[in-house]
Amino acid sequence: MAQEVAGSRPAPTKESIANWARATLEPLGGTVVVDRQFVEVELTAEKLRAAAHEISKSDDPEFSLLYDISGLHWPDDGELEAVYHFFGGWHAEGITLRVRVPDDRPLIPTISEDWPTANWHEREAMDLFLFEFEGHPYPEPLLLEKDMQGALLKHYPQREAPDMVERFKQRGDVPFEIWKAVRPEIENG
Amino acid sequence: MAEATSGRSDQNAEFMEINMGPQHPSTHGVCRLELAVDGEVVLSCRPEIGYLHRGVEKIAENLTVIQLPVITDRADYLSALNTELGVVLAAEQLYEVAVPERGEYIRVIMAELNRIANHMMFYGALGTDAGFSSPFIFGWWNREIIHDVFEEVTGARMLHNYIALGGVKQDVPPNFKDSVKKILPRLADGLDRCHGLLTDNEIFVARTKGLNPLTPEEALRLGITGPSLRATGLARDLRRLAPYSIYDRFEFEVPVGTVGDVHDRYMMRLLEMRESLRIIEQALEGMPDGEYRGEIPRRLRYPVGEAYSRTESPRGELGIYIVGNGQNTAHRVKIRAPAFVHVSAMEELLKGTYIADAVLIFASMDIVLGEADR
Repeated sequence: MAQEVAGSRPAPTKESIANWARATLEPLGGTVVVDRQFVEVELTAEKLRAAAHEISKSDDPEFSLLYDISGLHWPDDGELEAVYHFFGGWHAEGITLRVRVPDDRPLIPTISEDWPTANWHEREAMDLFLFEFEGHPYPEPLLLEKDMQGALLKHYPQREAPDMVERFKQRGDVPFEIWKAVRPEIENG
Repeated sequence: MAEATSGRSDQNAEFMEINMGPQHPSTHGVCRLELAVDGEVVLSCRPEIGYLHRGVEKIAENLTVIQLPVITDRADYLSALNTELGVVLAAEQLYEVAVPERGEYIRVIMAELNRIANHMMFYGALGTDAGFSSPFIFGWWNREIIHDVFEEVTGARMLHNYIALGGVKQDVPPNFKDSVKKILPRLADGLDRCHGLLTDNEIFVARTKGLNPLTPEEALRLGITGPSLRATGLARDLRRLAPYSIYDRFEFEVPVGTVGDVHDRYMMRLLEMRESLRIIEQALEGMPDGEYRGEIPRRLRYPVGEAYSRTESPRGELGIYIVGNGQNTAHRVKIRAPAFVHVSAMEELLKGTYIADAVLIFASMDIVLGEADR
């Protein structure tokens, strides 16, 4: 599926990226997972900067784009997860880094030295998930006001979503049976 | 930098700080560029966003997959159908839903029409920022033609909520093929007029040729994707590189530029519209009869797992990351907005340029702040 652009560099496959990750990132302390959409490497926070550096300077396979840094909150485990999606510039394959940290002390080193675009992605993750990126050059709020930080955490207080089924049941004008017939997903939902 | 106060020059400093925006006609939304200038030359630029942040990702965590496109429409309001396509592709990957042929063809036709409408908006805005008043009228003229078709099909002109899990919400009206066939020559003609108005215009060329050139490596380092990246000479188009939907069935060129300057970025959009017209023509030919929406599960709980879709939105590469955990609503919906990265690139792109050119460079990246802030 991976095709190359401009014919100058060979396009890697998922297998070759997995092999590269096993050879380069596993010695750093990462665990390579291959049965997902992209090759994924699970790391501890201390190893992240070294891994990101390896990815940035790697020539074959080449990765030029840091697509995004997505936070994930797992309140049951008391953990925050940062997901880094890297993709090639000359090909379409990618590699994903995953870091899990406790949500009461989410310390992660910044990778903005090797990846200039990480600067804003990290600021966004800081706003939405209260990550602390150690060594970030400009750790100021980007999207949210100072009193709204951490809005994407699961325990962030929000107005409760209305219970649609209850609302339909209470409506006098249309019997609930009719609503069920028209919108089956309400009942099944 | 710390000594300078906003809006007036400091006696001892060699520079002055100027706020461009948040309310400024050429910031294409609400964005503030904090420029430190020495005379007319920009020494440094610090973009500030967040004025249009509506918490799209948080709201999306409280919506079912059927309701999801409603809110993502509002992120990139100029190419809502392309965003919907990305969101729905990720959801389909998660739910393992198949899309019938007719649904795929309708999606491609609508997405490509939306791409033309978006680039027409770009054309008008860039023309205005370069100091011409006619391009805006010409761009909107053509955009209007497309929006009339959208209105017939989806009932809405901008925020459609049309592409849905398993296909599209409703079938196209019976006269759909005719009405699209009717507008194609009008759009091709309109495109020629656009070319005639601006492309070889001496003043426009003088202002944009050689302005802010980029190499592919620099552009990738700054995270620039889409037409602005192809302007540098790198033929990276996800419709060709990692084909999604049915884009592998159509014949179309991926236009590339040479030096990546503002004029190249402008040309990419105009050339791309021609290719979109070609795709639409082929899709109209190949569009079969039949179902427009496939079987979707009765229970719409998000499966446990995650999916990442990457699509070529008119602005750049759009990534949608959905994590499901067996509930009615998603655990996480992340929108990787190209405009977000492009605004952040302004910090480097504007360094050393003139203020008057900064306006053009900003416009040449085709930024929608609704998408950058989400």
